[in-house]
Amino acid sequence: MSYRNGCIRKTRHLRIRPVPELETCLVYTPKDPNLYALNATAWVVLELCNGRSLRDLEEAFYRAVEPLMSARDAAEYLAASLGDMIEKSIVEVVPKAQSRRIRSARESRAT
Amino acid sequence: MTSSKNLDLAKRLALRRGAPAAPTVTEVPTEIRSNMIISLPPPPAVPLDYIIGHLVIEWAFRLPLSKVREFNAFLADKEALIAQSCEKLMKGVHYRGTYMTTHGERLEYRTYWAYDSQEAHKQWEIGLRDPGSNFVAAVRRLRSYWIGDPNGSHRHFSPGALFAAESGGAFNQFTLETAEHLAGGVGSVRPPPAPKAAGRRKKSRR
Repeated sequence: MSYRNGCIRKTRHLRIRPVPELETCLVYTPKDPNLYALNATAWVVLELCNGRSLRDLEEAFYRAVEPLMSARDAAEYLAASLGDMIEKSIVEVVPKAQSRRIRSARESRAT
Repeated sequence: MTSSKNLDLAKRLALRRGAPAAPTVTEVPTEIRSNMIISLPPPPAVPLDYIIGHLVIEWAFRLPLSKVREFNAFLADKEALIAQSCEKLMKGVHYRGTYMTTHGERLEYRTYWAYDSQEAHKQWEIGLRDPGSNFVAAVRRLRSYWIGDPNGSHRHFSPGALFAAESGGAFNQFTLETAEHLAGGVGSVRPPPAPKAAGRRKKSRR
């Protein structure tokens, strides 16, 4: 499924270890065993991937980097980063309905 | 750490250098023999390309009203010479102008010098080498106005951001730690020893 139609979230069982003193974040992808270092911008993208649609992600990412980047440049950064992270199994695309179910289950668990 | 804290931290780091860098995801090669140690390059220093200088020196002085016209004329004639000579003779030393300011009815002048590094201050040994030069004569006259004010001040400024990683020397570190200790025991300073109790009290005889 194209990420343009679904929702994007972190892959299951992803291990995230921030290393702020080196301005990086290490992630381990058990699905396709590998270790990656994300720079701070990619880390922001990763943290925003919690089941948002692409449109919501674009808005959230732009809000995180404005006014230093234009909406168009921010969308370009985001698209490049998402493509890269999907390929490396760091984030995954799920259908919108599934994402909604997961989010509502999480919310009911929280309450 | 919660996800929202992670997001806040990531945002803070992404914007440290202004416009965020292009997102990158780099594979970290691992080896069993590496004994769980992962080698990551340290981040580059934050470029302070927006500041006036790594060191800024301010001369503040007042002049008698009778000398104001003379001094302004001197600035009009010699400031360009001073500024351009600084650039030509010395590396990392910049004259940033003398400003007239008013405090109520009193006139005050402030002269600003900017240095690209703390070490650049040593460049004056080169700049002042020829005592007969036009540059030295102009700086001497400028400084003489400052000397003429017994209440003139000479202050050093450094960008606070420089002290985020390094405290600025042992004494600054000591001062910060003492302040943090007083504020609630955060610093690594040992608490001062408790005052000893006064000598034994004599038992009062009833």
